[in-house]
Amino acid sequence: MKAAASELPPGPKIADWMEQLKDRQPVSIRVGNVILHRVDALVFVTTLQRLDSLSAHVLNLLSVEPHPLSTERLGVILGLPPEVTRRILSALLDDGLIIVGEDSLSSKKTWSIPSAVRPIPGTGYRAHRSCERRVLTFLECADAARPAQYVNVCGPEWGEPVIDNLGGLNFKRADIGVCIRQSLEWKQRRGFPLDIAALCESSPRIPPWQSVIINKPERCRVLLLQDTEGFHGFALDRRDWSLHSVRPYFTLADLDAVECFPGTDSVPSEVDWRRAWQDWMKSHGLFGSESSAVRLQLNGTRLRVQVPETMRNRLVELLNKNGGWLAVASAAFHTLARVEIDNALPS
Amino acid sequence: MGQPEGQFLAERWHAANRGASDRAPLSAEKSLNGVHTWQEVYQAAGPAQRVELLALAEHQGLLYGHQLPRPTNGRPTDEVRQFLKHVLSTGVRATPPLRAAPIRCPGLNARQTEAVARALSTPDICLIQGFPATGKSTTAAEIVSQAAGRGERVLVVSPLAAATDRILDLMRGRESVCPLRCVARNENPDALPEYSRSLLFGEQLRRLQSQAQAAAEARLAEAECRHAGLAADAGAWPLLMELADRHERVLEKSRDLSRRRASVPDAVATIVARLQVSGTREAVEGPAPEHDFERTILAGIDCWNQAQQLIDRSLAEIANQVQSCKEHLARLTAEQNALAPLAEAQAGGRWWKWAWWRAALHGNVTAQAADLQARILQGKEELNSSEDQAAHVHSERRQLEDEARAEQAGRMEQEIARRIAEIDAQDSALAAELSVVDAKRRQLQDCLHPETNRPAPAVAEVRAAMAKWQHLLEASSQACAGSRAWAEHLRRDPEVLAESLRTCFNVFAMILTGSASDPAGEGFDSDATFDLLVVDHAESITEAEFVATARRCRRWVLIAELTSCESGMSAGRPPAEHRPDRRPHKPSTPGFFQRLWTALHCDPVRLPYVWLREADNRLCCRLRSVSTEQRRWMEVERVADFREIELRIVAPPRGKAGSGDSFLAEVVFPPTMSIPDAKAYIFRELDEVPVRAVRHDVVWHESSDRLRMLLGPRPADTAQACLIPLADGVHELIVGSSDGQTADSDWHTAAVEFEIAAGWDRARAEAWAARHLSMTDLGRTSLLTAPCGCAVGLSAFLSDVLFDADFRDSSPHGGPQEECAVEFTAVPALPRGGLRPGRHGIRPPNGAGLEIDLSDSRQHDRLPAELRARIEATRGYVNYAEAQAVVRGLLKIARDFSGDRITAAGMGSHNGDSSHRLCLGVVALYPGQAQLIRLLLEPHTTALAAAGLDVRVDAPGGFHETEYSTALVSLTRSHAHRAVVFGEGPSALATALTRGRLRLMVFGDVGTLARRVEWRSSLDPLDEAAAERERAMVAGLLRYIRNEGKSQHAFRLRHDNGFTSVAPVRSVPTRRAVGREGSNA
Repeated sequence: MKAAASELPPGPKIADWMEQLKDRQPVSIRVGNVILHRVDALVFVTTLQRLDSLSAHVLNLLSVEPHPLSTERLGVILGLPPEVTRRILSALLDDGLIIVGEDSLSSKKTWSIPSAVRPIPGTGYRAHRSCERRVLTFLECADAARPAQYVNVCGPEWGEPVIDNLGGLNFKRADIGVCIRQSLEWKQRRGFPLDIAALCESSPRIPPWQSVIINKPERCRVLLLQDTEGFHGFALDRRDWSLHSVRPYFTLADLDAVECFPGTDSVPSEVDWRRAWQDWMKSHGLFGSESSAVRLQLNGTRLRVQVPETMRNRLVELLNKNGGWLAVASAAFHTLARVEIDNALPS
Repeated sequence: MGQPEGQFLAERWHAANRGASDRAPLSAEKSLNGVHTWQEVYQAAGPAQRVELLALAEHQGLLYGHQLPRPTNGRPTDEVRQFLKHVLSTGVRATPPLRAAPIRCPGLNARQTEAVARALSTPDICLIQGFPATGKSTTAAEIVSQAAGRGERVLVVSPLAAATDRILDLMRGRESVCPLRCVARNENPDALPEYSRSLLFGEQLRRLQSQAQAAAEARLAEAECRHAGLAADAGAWPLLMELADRHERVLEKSRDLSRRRASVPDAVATIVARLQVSGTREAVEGPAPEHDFERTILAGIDCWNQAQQLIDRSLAEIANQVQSCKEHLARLTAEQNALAPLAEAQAGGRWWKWAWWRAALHGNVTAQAADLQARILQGKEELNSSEDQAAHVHSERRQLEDEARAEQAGRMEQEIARRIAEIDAQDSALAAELSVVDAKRRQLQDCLHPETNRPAPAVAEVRAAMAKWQHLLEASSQACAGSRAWAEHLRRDPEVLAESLRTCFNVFAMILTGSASDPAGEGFDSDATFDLLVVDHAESITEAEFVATARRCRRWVLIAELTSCESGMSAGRPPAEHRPDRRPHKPSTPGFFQRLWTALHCDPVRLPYVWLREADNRLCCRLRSVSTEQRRWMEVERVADFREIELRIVAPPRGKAGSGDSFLAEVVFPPTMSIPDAKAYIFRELDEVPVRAVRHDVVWHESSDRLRMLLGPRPADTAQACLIPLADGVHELIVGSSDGQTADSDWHTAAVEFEIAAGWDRARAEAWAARHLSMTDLGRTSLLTAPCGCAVGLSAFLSDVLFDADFRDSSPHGGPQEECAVEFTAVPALPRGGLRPGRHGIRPPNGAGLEIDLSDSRQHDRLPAELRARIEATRGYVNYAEAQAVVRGLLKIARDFSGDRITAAGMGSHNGDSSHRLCLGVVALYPGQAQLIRLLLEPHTTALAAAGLDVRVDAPGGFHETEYSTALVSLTRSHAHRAVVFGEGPSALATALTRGRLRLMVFGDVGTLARRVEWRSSLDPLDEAAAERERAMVAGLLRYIRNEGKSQHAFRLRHDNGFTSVAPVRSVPTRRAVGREGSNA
């Protein structure tokens, strides 16, 4: 439970953060290291495109015809050369706007509009599928058995690249597919791009090199601030613990935060705080029965401490000097609380 | 408010996506290494690095950022240049070998099909090279069509407009292709062939607009007519509904009558039963029924009741009589019983008995007893009589009862019949009413629109049909509105189709202008990218031109005509090292295509192995090329356990810059050692197979028992072949050295064979060949060597003379069998008997010296004065006698054609010709000669046209991409004493000889040809390679003149003393041999 000294920010630095983030009303604050996978992958993206007039007319025509039309018939109706008719139909077929059938008598191809698409023609738009590379960010889960969790990170790289022990990382190619298959509500909550339809695999049209996924894992220092909206992740500089920006790099709902950072749904117990308090006292040369004769009470990000009168002045002096922040390790993070000396206990 | 639905949808869609994307920078464009994308990193990587990266990605499932190579600083190198640099610098190591999946190409021969397969499967580049008339354009058209069929966008370019147009023409009618002919700035659209002109964007758009406008108007009229027809049905539906209602009601009544008809017997029976129960009572208590039937029934019942009462009374009386008789008899019987003991005692005289005494007291007891007996008998008779009477009365009663019942049944039947008749009458009335209703309904339905459903006469059915009609009406209304809107749209904005048309094109054809930014006409997006680039006549383009176009394409196919730069391509002859009379020559710089070809093509002839006999008759196998400088450092060592074998090792002095390491250059065997033994020794000791290949490409042939890597022509006679065992199940088949003793230029490696039974398959055999022969076929090149689309005889001749390939008719349809596809007319005429070797000696006659050099004005006097002035402006050589011979030949053809002695088909016409017209191409190797022939033909123009001949005369350059069923070639050159070149070079000569599809007529001076063959070195202006190639062609032709050709049956030698007869033509050309005559075919 005890964190190494180097894993904890100095008290004044925490005070700086709190000053910078004073507009927020934190319920809890945590600091810790996470591994962030920046995954650059080729994906199918579905976008709405305006239909050209002729295609729209073809769709309109097919939608009002009681029976599927053959290519030849359509060509006659539209007055188009066969090759142009075929190309238009082929493009519409590729976009899934029409379906191809076969005439039972002549065995010729026939074209019609699938019932699912019927409302579309009037709109003059079509869903167009194209390939493009996107960067998706995943968090390495502390629980190795769980897949990496998608988190919508909005910010530049700020961590240090992970180049060793790559076999221990649990991001897999399939994790992208898992996200793509999630519900619309999940995607909206997590900020997963809604237009990504599938992961591109290599095919005759897509050379193998294009479908290669590039992962840039980085070890990042994160300040996780919980308020009424959820959990906000702020980037911390690895060298001096300074805050990169007062804008969060990612935001997670409580539900998602628990999935991404197991353990964030609970706070350290009083026993943990007491132990941390005693360790802190020891580290500052305060021994004896007096150190244990304190009362602790956690209130949000503040830890109210009642100490004997004999210790009070010394403690106040120490806290003023060091910023007065206490940390308790839980899972991958350290929960921080500001120590406030309350009324003295009777001696 | 008022926002179009589509716009709303689109905004919603984008808003939904924006929600996610606004929060995260999702574009991968500058994601790697801060500044470089994965594409940039990959494209900057070398081929080996690429292979490593892909292998690592496959192994790990992904790549990690730190595993990517650091790209060079600055702007990433151009991908195309990078690739070309790798290919040209590292050659075969630049790209991994590729095995194309087999495909089907109907109409193409095996080599063309293989070329198409390779072009379609290559991930980067594919080179196709072939001689003239080997079907390069056909292959290109097939590649483009198949790629387009796979959904790819294809860019077709060529430095020659005719080549581009030819490819477009060959794709005419292909379903998968929607072509656009783009016009460069320096191109005149009016000069394009008709079909290509019709593919210009403007032309297509204009055509499309007019057709679409007409179709839209027609469609609108049709839709409005249909809608009006459907709308006219509206009034019919209430009537139909009313009629259906009436129909249903009538039917219900009819059904009710049927039910009543069925219940009539029961009803009558019920009435009778009721009358029987109540009628008798009512007869007593109430009034009689009003109906006749009931009254009749009641009367019957009454009558019966009265009769019954009488009978019953009579029966009662009889019963009383019987009773009294029985009682009387009983009394008499009792009295008799009482008297019987007295009478017995009296009769017995037993006086002592009381009975005797009592009898005595009664008097005459015996008499009394007798009297009683009589009375008893009488009583019994009376009783019997009464009983008989009673039985009789009973019988009468039953009879009366039966009669009454029968009478009642009869009345009932009458009543039933009456009632049924009454119902039937009602039913008939209903049927009449129904028929009237149906007639009205049918009349109404006949007036409905043909698409409207004809409902059955039921309300529900009419209602359903009406619903369908309403749906149809709504749809037709929509169709009407759509058609009206579309027609209006087209009327208002004729350009509306331009955008759609642009998206339809999948094949873009243009001439290579050398600048990618040069707008190649309307409809062509200068930023467009393509999946495939097909460059025809790639031998004429520069690297810069290629790069400018290629950078917008993903894959490239370059098709080139075999040029003189490809030295030593005259297969079947030993490589240059074998020529004894090597002289310094000025090699031409290989073009861009040739450099690529050299880097990527696996040419067995380029292998360094050379076999030769040394001056002391020892057999020498050269394993590596040795320069003159290296030869100075050559050291000789003898093999320890075989002292007669000598190893020659090039050992450069140490420290000599650029000299390289020592290497074994030659192995020299004793004179007695055979070639097979020497080859076996080299393989055993050095693991190398020093083949002597004559093919310029590697062809694999698989039979049931073995795989063959073909490196030369197969032996005609197995006695000439020798199998040399190499590894287990591997043999080298050499031809021409069965005894293995000959080591000069008369043997070659025909194949390396791999026995399938020994476990060899294609992949393993290829790996073996790569290891032991240092040959790896990258699968990115194809060499076309088989004549395509020619008559069989002509193909065989061309294959022998031009390609020197091992011709087999591999065309899918087979060409027409003509006895004499090639005719050579000697000018001047040869003596009868020709040039048969051994008859007049080997040495041929000198040239006749008939040629006139137009650059030498002194020679102009040899031309007729009227022609001189018109010839002088042209260049090159003319041969007046030969020109006259050509004209005579044409006139002869004209006479024969007009006299129906030969037909258009016989002269090699094809689909493009009618039976009344024949198109001929006259190819003169020099423009001056072409002009001379034209001038000589001028007086005969009318006659030729009248005879049905269309003749085009030009130099070879004017016949690019144009083929004729019959071609006449004027070789022109006729020098008196020295070897001269024929035309501008071997390519021009090859072009001239390959313009005929079915028939070729060559005119030339045999002596000049023979002189040319004797000259075995460079010949101004040709370099050595080009001169050698030309010499080989001329030698091939001369072989036939000497009657030594491989396909001599297809050849006929004629003398210029007039055509005495016309070669019999025995077949009709097939479709395969047909092109488009006289135009870009």
